[in-house]
Amino acid sequence: MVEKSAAAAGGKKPGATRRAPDEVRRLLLESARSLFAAKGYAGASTRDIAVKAGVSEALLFRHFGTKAKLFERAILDPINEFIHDYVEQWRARTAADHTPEGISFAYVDGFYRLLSENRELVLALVTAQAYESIKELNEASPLSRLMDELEQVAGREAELRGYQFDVHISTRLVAGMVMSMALLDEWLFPTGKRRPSRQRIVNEMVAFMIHGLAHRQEAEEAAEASG
Amino acid sequence: MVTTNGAQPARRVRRSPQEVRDLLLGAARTTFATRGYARTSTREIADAAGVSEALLFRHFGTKAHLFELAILRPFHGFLDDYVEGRPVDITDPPPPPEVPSRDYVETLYDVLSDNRELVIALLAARAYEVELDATPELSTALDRLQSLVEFEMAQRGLTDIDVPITIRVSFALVVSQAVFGDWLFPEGRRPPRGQIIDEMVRFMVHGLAHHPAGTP
Repeated sequence: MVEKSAAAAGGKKPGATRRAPDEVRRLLLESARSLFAAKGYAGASTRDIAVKAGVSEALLFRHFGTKAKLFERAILDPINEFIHDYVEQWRARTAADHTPEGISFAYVDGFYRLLSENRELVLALVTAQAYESIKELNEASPLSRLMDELEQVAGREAELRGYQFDVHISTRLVAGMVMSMALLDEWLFPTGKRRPSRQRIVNEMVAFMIHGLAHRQEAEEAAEASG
Repeated sequence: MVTTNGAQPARRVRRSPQEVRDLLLGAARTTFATRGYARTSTREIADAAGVSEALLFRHFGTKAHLFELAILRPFHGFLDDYVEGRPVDITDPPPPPEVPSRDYVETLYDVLSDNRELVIALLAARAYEVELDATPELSTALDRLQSLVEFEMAQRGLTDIDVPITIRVSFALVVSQAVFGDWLFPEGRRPPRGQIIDEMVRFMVHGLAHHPAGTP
């Protein structure tokens, strides 16, 4: 009976320590994320990562090849996934089915949340790119490739609404703004000082991104006029 | 017997405390920037400055404190100069919003680009290496900037803006391009400084929806 439900849940036989490759991969990525976040790239050893995941170091290398590749997957997979989902969801919209605020909010809110929750990991990436010579990270910036994907959404939105911004650069300005807001959080809003709510920070980024400093009132007037 | 051997002056040159401090801060900046916080010793900094380690501790107390002062000083200098350089009375009519925005973006972008390694060293140190003292300096500087901007916004009748957050968002925008710009653009194809600055000014003043066609 126990055996049956365990098998249904994940094919794991009692007494056997053999796990499915996907499960091993998931455990390793989880362990890598927590150790890279706590100790940085140089500080976390593959040995420690394997031990924490409960698998052998040999298996770690069989799955990921090198420490650098494991690092790349551990940090970039969540970001890749977010960007892919976002682009998938918003790339083929019509002007009538969403507002500029809606499409911008979905991006800024989601990206800011993701980066804030994984702040230590993103800092590990920044530090590794600065101090370690990791071929995988320095040859082609993984962030830049994600920006290329986002350009599809930004470019289509510009076309739909007749906006004049430079798609290639502006995509990177918005992403950089959100990234820095998450990474520099403790400098921008030090503990002990009154801190605006997350919601307010996101709303302000969205308003800044769409209307800049000079056009908020006209935007509000237009909204009121249209009912 | 005391001899004068050319390299060593017969009498030790006594340096003023300010001079010692400046030497130490300069040495600390260079050393921290190239090697990061953890791998730099106070001994090395003292040697590079030509000062005793005891004097280093007398001036700065701890390595962490020296680090904060060495790294943050360029930004204080910038913000002080910037705040002091602002016109007290805004002209009537005020200059177009591009003028103060460009001034802000250009100055900040240049100082951050010049000190990119220091910003990363500070981020890295805070992330793993040490518990540094809280860094109220940057926040205080941003608060000073905030009162300036609030005044200016009011002069222009721009009342719908949350200034404390906006100040920080625009600061974050410029940091991202100065410090992370290389990683955001395809390798070797980052647009030149002038173009990045133009786009940041347009973005900041007009947002994406109100970009004027052509030059800002």
